[in-house]
Amino acid sequence: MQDWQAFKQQWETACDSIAERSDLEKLKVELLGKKGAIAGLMGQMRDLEPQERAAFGKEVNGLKDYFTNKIETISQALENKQLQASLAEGSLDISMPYTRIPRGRLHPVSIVRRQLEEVFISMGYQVVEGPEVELDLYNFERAGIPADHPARDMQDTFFVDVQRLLRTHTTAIQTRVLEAQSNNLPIKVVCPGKDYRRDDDDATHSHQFSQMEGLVVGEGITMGDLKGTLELLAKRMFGESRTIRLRPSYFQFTEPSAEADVSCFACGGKGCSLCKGSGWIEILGSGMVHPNVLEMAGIDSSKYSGFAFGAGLERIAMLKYGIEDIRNLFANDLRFLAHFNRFE
Amino acid sequence: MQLSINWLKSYMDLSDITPAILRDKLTSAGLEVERIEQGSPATGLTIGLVLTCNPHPDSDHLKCTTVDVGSTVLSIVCGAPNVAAGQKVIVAMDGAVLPQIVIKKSVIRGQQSEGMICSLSEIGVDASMQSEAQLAGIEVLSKDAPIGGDPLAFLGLDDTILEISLTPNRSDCYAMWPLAKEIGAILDRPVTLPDCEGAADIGGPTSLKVASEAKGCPTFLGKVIGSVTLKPSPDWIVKALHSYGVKSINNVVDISNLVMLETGQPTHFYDKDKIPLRQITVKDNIAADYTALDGNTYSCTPGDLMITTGDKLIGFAGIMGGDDSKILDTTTGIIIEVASFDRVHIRRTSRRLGLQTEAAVHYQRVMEPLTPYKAMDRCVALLLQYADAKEIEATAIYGIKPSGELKLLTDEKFHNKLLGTNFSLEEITDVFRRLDFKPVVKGSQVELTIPSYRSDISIQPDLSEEIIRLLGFENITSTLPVLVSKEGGLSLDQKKREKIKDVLTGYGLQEVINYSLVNRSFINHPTWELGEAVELANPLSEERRYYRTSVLPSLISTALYQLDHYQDEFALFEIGDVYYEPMEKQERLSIILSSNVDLSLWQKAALQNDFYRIKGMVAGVLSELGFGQNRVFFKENIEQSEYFHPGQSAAIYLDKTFLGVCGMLHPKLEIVKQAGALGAAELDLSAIFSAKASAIRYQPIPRYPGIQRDLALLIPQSQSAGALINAIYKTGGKLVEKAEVFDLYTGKGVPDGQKSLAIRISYQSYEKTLVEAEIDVLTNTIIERLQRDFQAQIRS
Repeated sequence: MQDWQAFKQQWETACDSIAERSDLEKLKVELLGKKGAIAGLMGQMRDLEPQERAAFGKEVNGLKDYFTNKIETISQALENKQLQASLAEGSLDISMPYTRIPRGRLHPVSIVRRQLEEVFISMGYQVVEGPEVELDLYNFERAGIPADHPARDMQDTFFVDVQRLLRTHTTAIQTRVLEAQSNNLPIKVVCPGKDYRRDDDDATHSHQFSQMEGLVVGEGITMGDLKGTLELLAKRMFGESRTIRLRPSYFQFTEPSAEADVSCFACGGKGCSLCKGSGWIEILGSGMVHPNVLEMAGIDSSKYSGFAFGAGLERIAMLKYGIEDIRNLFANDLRFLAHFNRFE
Repeated sequence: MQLSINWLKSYMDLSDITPAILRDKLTSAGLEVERIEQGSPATGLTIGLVLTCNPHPDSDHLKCTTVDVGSTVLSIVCGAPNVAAGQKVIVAMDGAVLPQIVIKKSVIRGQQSEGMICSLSEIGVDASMQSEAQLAGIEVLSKDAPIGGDPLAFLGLDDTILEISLTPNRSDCYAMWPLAKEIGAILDRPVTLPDCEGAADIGGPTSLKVASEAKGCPTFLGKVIGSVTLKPSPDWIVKALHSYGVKSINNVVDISNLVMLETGQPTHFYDKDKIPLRQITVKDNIAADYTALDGNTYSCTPGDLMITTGDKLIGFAGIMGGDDSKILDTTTGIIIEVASFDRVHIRRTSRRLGLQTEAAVHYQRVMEPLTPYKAMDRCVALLLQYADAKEIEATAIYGIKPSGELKLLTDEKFHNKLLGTNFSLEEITDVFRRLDFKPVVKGSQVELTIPSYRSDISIQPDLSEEIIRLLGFENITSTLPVLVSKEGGLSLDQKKREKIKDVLTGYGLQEVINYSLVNRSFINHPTWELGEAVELANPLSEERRYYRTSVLPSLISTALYQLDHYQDEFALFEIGDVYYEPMEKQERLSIILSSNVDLSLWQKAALQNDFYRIKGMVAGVLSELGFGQNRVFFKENIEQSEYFHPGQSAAIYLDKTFLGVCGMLHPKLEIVKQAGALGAAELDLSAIFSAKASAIRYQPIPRYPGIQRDLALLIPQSQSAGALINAIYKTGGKLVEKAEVFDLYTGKGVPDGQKSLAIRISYQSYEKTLVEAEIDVLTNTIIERLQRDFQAQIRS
């Protein structure tokens, strides 16, 4: 008579002592393999009486299922143990520095230019550029500044020869646009670009700087349209709670002309060192396009009117980011440029 | 422009207006007040009479005084050498606040001192406004100074000065009278100016002849005043001059200066005895040396406007008179010159001579044509009143007196349409009344008479500006333009440029902006040769004489700057224009990369910026714009520039168009000596922008397996891998999906002059499963081509 209990006990003990996967594989062969202990029991069936076989077979199959499960459980436990060990081994000091992903950035003047362009593109403005080596014709004559005009004194000019100069203001682009689109009104453009003036470089002056001018010409354009546009510009660039103030000024290109101040974004208008106590910061010049300027471009000034404005991009960048010296914007020191590094 | 409030008060009532209110009103009407300045900031001062003055018992330089200040008599110890009994002096009382100190009762070497007797410096008067005697001691006031009165008011030091920044169209306001009229209009109150119109019309026949042989002098008025008495100026003139920082000299000289301040018209007074010819002519064709009023000798050249009498020079017109005809203490009669000179002439001469005199500054502004006549009237009136002018001759006149006034018709409709406002005809008429434009309503319109000093007013929008600046911009309601819709946005080229910027910043590159103007050395060595640089006729310095012809040299100097500031890792790009004669322009992109960029110090990981990385960046940028490897070619850089390593740089072509150069910088460059091997590139963006990229076309993902074959080849060093790869594509046809180098080796085991190249060819069909035998045949065809055209040997 087979001692089932002893058989089970013997192999149970063998299973419980397993610590390594190789031992488990060996045990599996010894017990469940083709020539293993269970197969040996099966072999004994032939010698039994037919009526005993069913009960015997049931016992053997029961043991086979039992140990198959048992070994699978041990196998999983071993696998799990191994995984835990390898995870423990693979733990990192996550406080160590990360691998730097090199980041590039735009120059702050480019950032400001893009922001302004986006404001105006969203309102349907075209972005138009022009040459920096410019003709006197477009820079001065067409802007209403003839050869002996005192306004030329305000803009000391780099000349190349009698006809050519380095553009002193982006108004030169506007006069080109007026000429090119005089038969294709209305005009709604912003004109960004570099300008040059014969100034010695210091903290607030630079012989090279950038401007963006805007020009709208069509039927029924009013100074109210200018004011509304500048208000929107001030809010988008300096915050939604900003207001603007217009002050009379003088530009050859426009009449009436106005300087636009934005309520101080540092103190909210109470007065501080940034706004020199006035609560207002000058950001741009503007006005209604002078009828002579329209006429020179072949546009009927009795039918059409327009407004124009111009802002210094370096000045806006300096105000926005608190930069004291304009020369920082041209020195390109990486420690300086690294500041302008995030979404605004 | 400086505005004296005290002086202004002599023309209008300002009793209800503080300087701060005035500042705000002027600024919002377009006369921007930049600063408010007090004459003397001192408080607690009074006028005292020195009763007694005795030596201090314990000091050899101090004195003990008693001073009557009206309400009481104070004991004051004083150290000034000039203090004496009987003087009227400025006394700082107990508690007085002076610029340097606060006065307190004290005991000085045992003697009670209840205040201080002051010098002008002690109460804050600038040294430049004082005589040597005044600087050396206490201020002694004139006998008529009232005891107990305010010394600041007595001296005119109680004034407040507004510093006004004027726009070029309002240069009329650089003089007191027009400025007062303007302020009257802004404040809407009457202004009373001295009336002296026609004062110069008096006088007997004149012997004086005035003329101009030069174009730059349209008007010249001369007048002989045969007899004047030189004496001190009246108090009000001294104070008026003082408030503008002009020192009083004598009545005659002061009148000349005063009239310039009042009217903006420079005048010149000659000693009549020094011009016996009685003939004054303006010429502009003289070359000579000439000693001016300031005692210095200057050279005049043809083109300078010169005042002459006979053969003699007597002044640089509009700038400075001569030393030998100036007013001296001995002067008994004068000749008045009042003229208008062309501003461009005056500017040119005064700049060349370095003589920016008050007169020259006035002449360089746009001046009203009638001012010389007004100034002559005022000179004569003042000389009659304050210099006993006698023996007056009629005014000698050169030039035609211009007729003054412009008439304009207007109505409210034009202005409301332009401004976006809703003003009535009455409201705008009232503005013109305030401005003294003498409005006369004619039906629905109003006729205006524009005074001659408002030469800035000639068309309707000029009037709109007057309306809005006096009524206020707050009357404008904000709107946005309503127009026919048109497409806005960036142009295609601008979009491509922005794309490139985004790609490069994504690669980790920092954008920089350099000056476009450069020195000769930048021009001598362009990245590649295109033509002559654009050169400035009037550069500020040699450093900034030329518009750059390439961008890379600027980037190299930016990189050198970083090295100088201990930053040896950089990856920079700049996009900017270059110009070359005649008027050609290109937009360029330039890149510079330091030899490596650390990614992780402790992991020892770094980006190696070698030739293949800069090449990859260029290929990447072009690929992003739609130009793949089938159109972009890196060829031998035969145009050897100063900048690139001849064996480690490439000329870049898009189809057959030259785009630029990329590669490693030349080892002889200073930057390479300092920073090691550097990658760099310069590309012609204009050429890239004008090329057309192919559209994106979807191709199905292949459904059939591909086959790979690896080739190990030996080829001569001189053969290029790029050409070999191209040959594989060409020979293999459309079944070759990809051919790429996976190993390059020279050295041990490879014969001299050869290189070992391993290439993986990936075959792919989109129509069927490839058969090995078919691919073997194709691969053999490729190998045969490589053997024939590249002298390739198959390694086994």
